[in-house]
Amino acid sequence: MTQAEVDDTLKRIQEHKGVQGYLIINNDGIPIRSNLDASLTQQYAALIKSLSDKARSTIREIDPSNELVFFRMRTKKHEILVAPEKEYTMIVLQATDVQ
Amino acid sequence: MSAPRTPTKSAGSKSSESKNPRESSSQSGTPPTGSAQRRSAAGSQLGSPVVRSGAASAVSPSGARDKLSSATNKQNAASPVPAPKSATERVEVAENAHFLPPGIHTIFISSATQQAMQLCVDEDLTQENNSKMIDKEILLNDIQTNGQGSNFYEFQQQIQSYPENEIAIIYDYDYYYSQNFLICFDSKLKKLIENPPVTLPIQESDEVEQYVPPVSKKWISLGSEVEIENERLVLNRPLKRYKIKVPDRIATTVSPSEKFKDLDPDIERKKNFVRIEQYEDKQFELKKMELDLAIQAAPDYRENSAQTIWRYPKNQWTQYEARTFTEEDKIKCMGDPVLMNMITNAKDLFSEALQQNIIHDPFYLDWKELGGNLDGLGGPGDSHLKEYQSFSSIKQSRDKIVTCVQWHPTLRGIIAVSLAAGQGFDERTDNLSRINTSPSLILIWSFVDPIQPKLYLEAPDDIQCFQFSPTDPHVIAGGCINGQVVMWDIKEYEERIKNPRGDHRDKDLFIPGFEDETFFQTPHIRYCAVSSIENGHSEPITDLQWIPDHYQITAQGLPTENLAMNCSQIMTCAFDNQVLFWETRVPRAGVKPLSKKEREINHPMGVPLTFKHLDLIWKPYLRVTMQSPETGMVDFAPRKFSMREIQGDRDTLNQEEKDLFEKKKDPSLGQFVNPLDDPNKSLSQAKAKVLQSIDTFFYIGTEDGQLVYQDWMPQKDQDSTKFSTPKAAWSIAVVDGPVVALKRSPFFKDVILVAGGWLFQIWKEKIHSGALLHAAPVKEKITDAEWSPTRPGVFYISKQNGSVDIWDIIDRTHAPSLSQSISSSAVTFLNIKVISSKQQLLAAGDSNGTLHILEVPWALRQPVNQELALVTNYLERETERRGFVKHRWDLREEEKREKERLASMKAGIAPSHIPTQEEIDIRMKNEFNEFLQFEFGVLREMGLRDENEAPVISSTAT
Repeated sequence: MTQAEVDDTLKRIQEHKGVQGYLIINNDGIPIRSNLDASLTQQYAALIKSLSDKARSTIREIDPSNELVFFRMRTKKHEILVAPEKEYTMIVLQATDVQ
Repeated sequence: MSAPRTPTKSAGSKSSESKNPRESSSQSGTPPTGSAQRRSAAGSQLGSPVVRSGAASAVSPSGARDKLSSATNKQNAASPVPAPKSATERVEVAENAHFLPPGIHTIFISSATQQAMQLCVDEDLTQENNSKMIDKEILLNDIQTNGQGSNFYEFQQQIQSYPENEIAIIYDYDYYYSQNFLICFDSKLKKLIENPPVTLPIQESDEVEQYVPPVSKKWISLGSEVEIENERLVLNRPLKRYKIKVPDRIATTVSPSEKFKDLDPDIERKKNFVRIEQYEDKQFELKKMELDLAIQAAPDYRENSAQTIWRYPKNQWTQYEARTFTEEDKIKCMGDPVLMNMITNAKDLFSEALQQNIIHDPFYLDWKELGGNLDGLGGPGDSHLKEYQSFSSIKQSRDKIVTCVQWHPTLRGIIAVSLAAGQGFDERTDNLSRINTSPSLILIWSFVDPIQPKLYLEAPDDIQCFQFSPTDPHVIAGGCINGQVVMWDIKEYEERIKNPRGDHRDKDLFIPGFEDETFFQTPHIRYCAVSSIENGHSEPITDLQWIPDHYQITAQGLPTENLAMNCSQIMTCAFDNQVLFWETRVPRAGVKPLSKKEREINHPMGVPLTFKHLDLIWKPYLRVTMQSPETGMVDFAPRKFSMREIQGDRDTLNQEEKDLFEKKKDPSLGQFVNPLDDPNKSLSQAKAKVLQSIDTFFYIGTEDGQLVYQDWMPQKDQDSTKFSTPKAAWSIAVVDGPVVALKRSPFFKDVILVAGGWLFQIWKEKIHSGALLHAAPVKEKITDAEWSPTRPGVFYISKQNGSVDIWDIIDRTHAPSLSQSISSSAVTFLNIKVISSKQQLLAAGDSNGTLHILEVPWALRQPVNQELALVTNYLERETERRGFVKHRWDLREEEKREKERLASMKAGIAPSHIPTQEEIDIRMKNEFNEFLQFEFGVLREMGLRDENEAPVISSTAT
């Protein structure tokens, strides 16, 4: 996968209906790429990171051979989709009231 | 120590006799301590306090039981095992025998019997070893041989019945129980005697006394030597040495003049000579054996101090900046294959989730969207209006009808009602000559007091309509039946209205007998100003409205910005074919402000000066005269009118202005500043911009049931070059009686409800081909109509018979969803107000002068799901229908014309017009020109053509 393809993929995700933004953060919760504004990016990066760490440890605790791959959070305003991997985490926000 | 008491002895009884000769000699009346004497003196001794052995005293309790236990103690002490070392000399009393335990009896055994049974006192038995077991047989033998002489004779029975072989005989050493022996017939006690309890403390004390020579052990260090070492005094400074010197006796006391001389001992032997013999002083032989020494360590005086610094608590904070990557880092990270891998992995997951969300909302709850909660009081099941309160003044409401009802714009639970004589024109003219004594009034009611109105507003004549100023709620403008506009200012009475205490009849405020009667009475407030009679309406004013605060209308009819941002202009209409515009502010070149003194003078009847400048000279600044559409027809007699703009709706303003409005909404607003007080605030609207977006057209409902679409802006008449009101843009007769209500929907600015006669219709602005909703005539005359403020599809129609129809166009459009009777007489006016999100009140005045307040049920105030959309759809559909109808009309018109033409052609009456070639050419050219223009229009819209590239249209002139 090339850099261009990455951009392409992100663009495609972004083009889904109701998608408000995405961000990619590294293991330390430092945002690498985001199309949200700076303060919101910081907040999401820091908060979602700790949440996903917690979720991952929960899954590991229950079954050490298991691994958290993806989770979605439904909120009143939007749905937060999180894909935590070893090194990086990707977060996408989608508005729920798309209609 | 008292004399009779004998000292305790530690030795045996034998040695006691010789123990203390001094004591025994000093005793008088006490038996000698010797055992023989004691025995002989037994029984006759006076008791001395019992002194028991020290050992025994340790165990025995105090009190009466002492003696009993001491007896057992004694027995115990006599047991051979412990070998007591101490004994007590006792002097017994015969009564002591009472304390013997059952089974033990005193017995006297003679010395002969003693010898026979080997019980010799002091030989076989001693004080310590004082019991002996004798065989039953021996005792019985003794009884047999000696018969009554036997010492044991009296106990024969007991001896015989004694179950064991041996009987214990106890030697009562000190005749404590009055005989020298005790015999025991209780086997348990016998055992006790044989084996006295080993746990007795007496034994413990014995053990303590036994000396066990200590065995030397090897010393084991447990660390104590360190302590000792620590405790040791080490000289770390030279010992202090103090020299105490007592001054010598002053040598001078010895007289230096003392003279010594030799004396001859022989001569003055007797006089002065003393010979002291030499002797050995024993004092010097004493050897110092012991020496008391005391050392006291006196510490050096030392002063020390330590202090810690108390640092007061401080708030501390840290601030950190979120870690971020630089752009280069980010780019580097983005190029990380791990990240790319992650994105590849996550891509599908995300797409799936995102698409799922778009396709279907799993969290959508149909039930929740169904509409509202179905439980609770006033739920959808109950859709009837509920009587909430009703106001009727006994004095003032009589023979009056309610002409207008207005809610106070800001204060809750305050409502104003205007009352007028319910007379027809004829009656009125008949009564014109009579002096009407009762003034025309507007009553201001408060919900807290349904008996007495809060205020009466006096009017020069009956009020047909009135309205609170939306921005200054204490200013009320009313329209009189005589054509005058009346202004009130109730600012001074605002407190009274607000006061929740119902009736001001708080008697505690006044001393009895000194009540201020006027205080309890409802004040009558005189109007501040009336308009000039000659310049105003000449007919009863039928409708009055304040122009919304976001714009104002100039004398030229132009809507401009309202820089003052409060309502100051009033619009009225009357039957005299006029709609008038009134300005309440002082004109710029107006009256000079009055001085304070003048003001005081010009303050009759306590009327506020707010509108002093208007009183009796007030003229409308703009007149809209309604002309008949065609000559020969009656001019329009306006009865109700409706403007497009409504108070509080600022959509026509641009965002900037809106913000300005919000900003200017300071709390001081709502104070109608007396223009005399503030001349700067007078009309200075020169800078005001013209608001293009405000529609100057408005609808008028007339006395004849017409609906008129009229522009208020005057236009230059071509003939006279004067400005005059243009002709009505459009008019149509809509209802079969005077228009009584012309109300715009609160949701759709262009939807108008027209009611009058027995009909009501819903019209849409600028759709003049017909009504959107044309209901069938109702059976009773309609008196008023009102839209629901919260439900777009609901409106209320009040009728002559005192009922109110509730229409819900979502439910059905051919009939009211509900009809409810409210009053026995005709309902004359409806006004609805949203009190809170949970309460909505409908005020209905009737022709008896009573004001009914009805609570709107839940179903009628809570919009159904997507009601607005549904009603919008409905209205759009109807509008389309109107368009279609119009289209069909045109078609029919054409068809008709065509038919007529053909018919006339056939009949040969009309000259059959056969177009010549020239005519055909012209027509085709026209069509071509039309096409060119259309094409140009399209192209320009698409931005492909410029304005100046207009097509050259060839002349069509023939």
